[in-house]
Amino acid sequence: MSEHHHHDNPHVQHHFVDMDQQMEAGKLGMWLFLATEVLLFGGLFAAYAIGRALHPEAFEYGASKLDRVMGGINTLVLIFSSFTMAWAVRAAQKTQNQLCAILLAITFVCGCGFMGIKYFEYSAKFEHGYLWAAGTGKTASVFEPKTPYSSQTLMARQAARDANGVTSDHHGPSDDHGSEEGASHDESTDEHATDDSSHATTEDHGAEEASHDELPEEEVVQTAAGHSAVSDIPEDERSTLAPAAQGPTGAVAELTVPGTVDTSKYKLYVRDEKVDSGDHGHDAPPFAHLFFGIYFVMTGLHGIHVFLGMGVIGWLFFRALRNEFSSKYYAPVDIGGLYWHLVDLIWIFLFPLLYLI
Amino acid sequence: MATTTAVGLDTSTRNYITESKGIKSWLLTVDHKRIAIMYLISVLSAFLIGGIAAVLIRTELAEPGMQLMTSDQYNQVFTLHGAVMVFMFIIPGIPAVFGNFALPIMIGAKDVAFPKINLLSWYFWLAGTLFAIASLLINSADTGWTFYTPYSTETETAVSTILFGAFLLGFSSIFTGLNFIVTIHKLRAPGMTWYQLPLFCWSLYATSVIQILATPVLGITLLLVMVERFMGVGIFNPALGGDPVLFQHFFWFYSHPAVYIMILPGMGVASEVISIFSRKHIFGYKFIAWSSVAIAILGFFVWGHHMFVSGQSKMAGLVFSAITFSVAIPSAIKVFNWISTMYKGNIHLEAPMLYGLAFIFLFTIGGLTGLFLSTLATDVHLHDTYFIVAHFHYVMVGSMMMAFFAAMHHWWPKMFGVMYNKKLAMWAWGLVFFGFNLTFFPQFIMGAKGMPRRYADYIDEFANYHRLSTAGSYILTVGIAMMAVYFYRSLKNGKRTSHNPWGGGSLEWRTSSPPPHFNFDEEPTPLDPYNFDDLVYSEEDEGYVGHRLAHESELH
Repeated sequence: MSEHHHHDNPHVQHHFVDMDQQMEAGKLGMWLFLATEVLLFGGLFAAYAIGRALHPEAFEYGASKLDRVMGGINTLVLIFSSFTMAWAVRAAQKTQNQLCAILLAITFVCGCGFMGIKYFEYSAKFEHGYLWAAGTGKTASVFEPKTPYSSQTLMARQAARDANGVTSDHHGPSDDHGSEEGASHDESTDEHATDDSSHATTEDHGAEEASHDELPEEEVVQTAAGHSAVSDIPEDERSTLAPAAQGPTGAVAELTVPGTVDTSKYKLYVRDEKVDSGDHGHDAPPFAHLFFGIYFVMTGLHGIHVFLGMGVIGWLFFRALRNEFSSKYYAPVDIGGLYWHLVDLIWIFLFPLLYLI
Repeated sequence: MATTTAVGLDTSTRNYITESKGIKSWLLTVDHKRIAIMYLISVLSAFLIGGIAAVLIRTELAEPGMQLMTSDQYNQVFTLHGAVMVFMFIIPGIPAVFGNFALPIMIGAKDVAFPKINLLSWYFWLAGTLFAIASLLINSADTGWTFYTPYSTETETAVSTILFGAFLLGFSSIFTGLNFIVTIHKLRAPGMTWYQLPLFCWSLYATSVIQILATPVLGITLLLVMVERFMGVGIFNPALGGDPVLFQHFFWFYSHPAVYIMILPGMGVASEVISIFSRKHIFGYKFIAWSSVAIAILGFFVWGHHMFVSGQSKMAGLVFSAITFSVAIPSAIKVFNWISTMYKGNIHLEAPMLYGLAFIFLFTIGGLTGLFLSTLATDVHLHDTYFIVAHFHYVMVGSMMMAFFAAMHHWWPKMFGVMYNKKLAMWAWGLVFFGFNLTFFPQFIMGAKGMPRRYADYIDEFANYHRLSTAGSYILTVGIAMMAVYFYRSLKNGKRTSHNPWGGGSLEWRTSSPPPHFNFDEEPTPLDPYNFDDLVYSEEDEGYVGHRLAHESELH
């Protein structure tokens, strides 16, 4: 090691003895950084596993709504880009800067292709309203739960029930669309919610699902306040009652429960018929929105990583054009390549988990 | 160069402080020593903010009823206290300040492996802190530093801002850890073996492993809470089919190992000062070294003990309880080894040693009370009481803060080349030690009697304990204020010190104080860092000299 003291090599930084030491340090640093990335995504994979364990039918349904062809093409695009990236490293090691630049360019274009296909996939999901619960500012989720959005409201209902000792019969979901539902599932045993997933009917499913005690929201209001606070409000005024801070589509009504429990600050979501008048999501099992929430978070975070990787590749591309790499100095390509492979690898796990199973 | 009459910071000789001038030369520096100084100023500022919040809390609690603030404001103040102290002071405290300063010198390197990333880490710290302060100005968060869902996704205070701040602080922490691991692996002086590393380096290595493996999980958790707030995705919201306990699992998967991020560097500091000020070779070097690694590994498998009453299964509770007990083994190994090091040593009760002793004493109390809490049945009684508050303050403040002060008194002469007023330092130590115990010991008692934590008000029965606790916090504050005064004055008119005022054997004591820009004028030769036999005190130099420095070449 001591025979080559590359202090003449301008790429060796002051605090390293030689290029070997610098390269080894850089590589170890990158591997450690990749470990942090794996754990970052690890949290999301754990959330996915928990979500799937709690609501298997929602995840199966969600997967069936994703475009496997587009996802599959994207998988191939990324695998191919990993190949060109690895080849680019080889080219840099052999001091073939021109070839290296071409391969990096191809890798970059693959990244663009991936993001382009992702854009079309996202657009389709937005168009259909296959979104997380609250939807976006512009687009409503077809899975918008008709139930109270916040757990505070759940507490209010529980309180109202306790205060009145009400045990209400469950009213069946109204099937506005008269459509026949998808497969009926066994009753979910999820402790947070619901004993009602067998009614995989129309938009009402969300209401029962989230209510601990089968009380449809309007009934709670009636029993708690002695009259229906919600139905007293003209339909067209409901949406002006409160800022829809917790979701753009449902109108929010204030509840007042007399007696010992002050629930004046609790909010209740009222079903907005317009949202559900579309023809999507009828066959959706409860909590399908949770699948799409996790889908967008996972693929979104992965997409950000693809963008960052493309930035790195672009930077390497210009350095290769300037003939900076050689058999004595190729660490940046090597290390940038490691990052790109990790981004690829994460997708290799995302694709089957989200699209195929 | 330093004459006996010269006092204050030396501006005439060439060292890392005088190497270049101007604010830009500091803000754009990649020198680990300068970054350490910037971190020192930063984390002490955070300590001040968190400390003010602490005094406000104690003042409010001095008497039953509400005097200073409303209960909502109380929630905001204790959230601020917790978040600032944990994320901005305790976690970066010892590694980013003293680790950054001492670690590369201790292993004979010119710098850390990635100096620019080191600087970037400081900027991430700064950005994260600014976000947290922005939250304070907008509408201070009131969730507690744990940000438990579903409250954190629903409260209208500026939680997202402080969450993003903590997210950035996480990056800062990851970059520091990453740098240290690579530095220790790749930049040790030629010929230096792992067992020639000072134990401070071993403890920083173990800390860094946790920082790298645990912090990203906190990052994704905080991101998910933000996504929850902005978009309503529902992963942690039971009304939407999510699981709020999942948040607790994620949060503690980071935050329990983070407890060891806080304490392991302190253990490293204790290993240094106990040995140096006992003038005796450290006892059980390998056991102390590997127990750090053992703590880091075991620390990853105990997070569930924060959730004994959160509805996890009994089986999970049992397993987490058992593993939690096992953490006591490596911790006890360290304590016994420190005590054995002192046995028949020539103990010098200088300020760093006093803080080191306080560390051992308070850590032992904090650790042993932890066993009460890892016992399932006892925990059900003590959960969410002041017993918990007292327990973790004995570990985080009693231990980590004492270790931070030990490190500060230990390396201050090396960092600035000046000595503080040793007599005042003894008095301040007395106040800090007494004040700390007076603040937190009564909390064990009232906790066991049922005083719940996080409450802004309480029944009269607990009033006397709270009065004692508040009085203690004022004494603690006076002690720390005194420290600030004599440290500041030492920069103005402190006596110049020799290169080795304490007689340390590790490499940082073999370069000048303050060290030159590249740490060493000549490449150092690694030796056993705990061999003090060759070092003798020289009245003339007011420091230790030995033929190790004069004739290094003869020794290997």
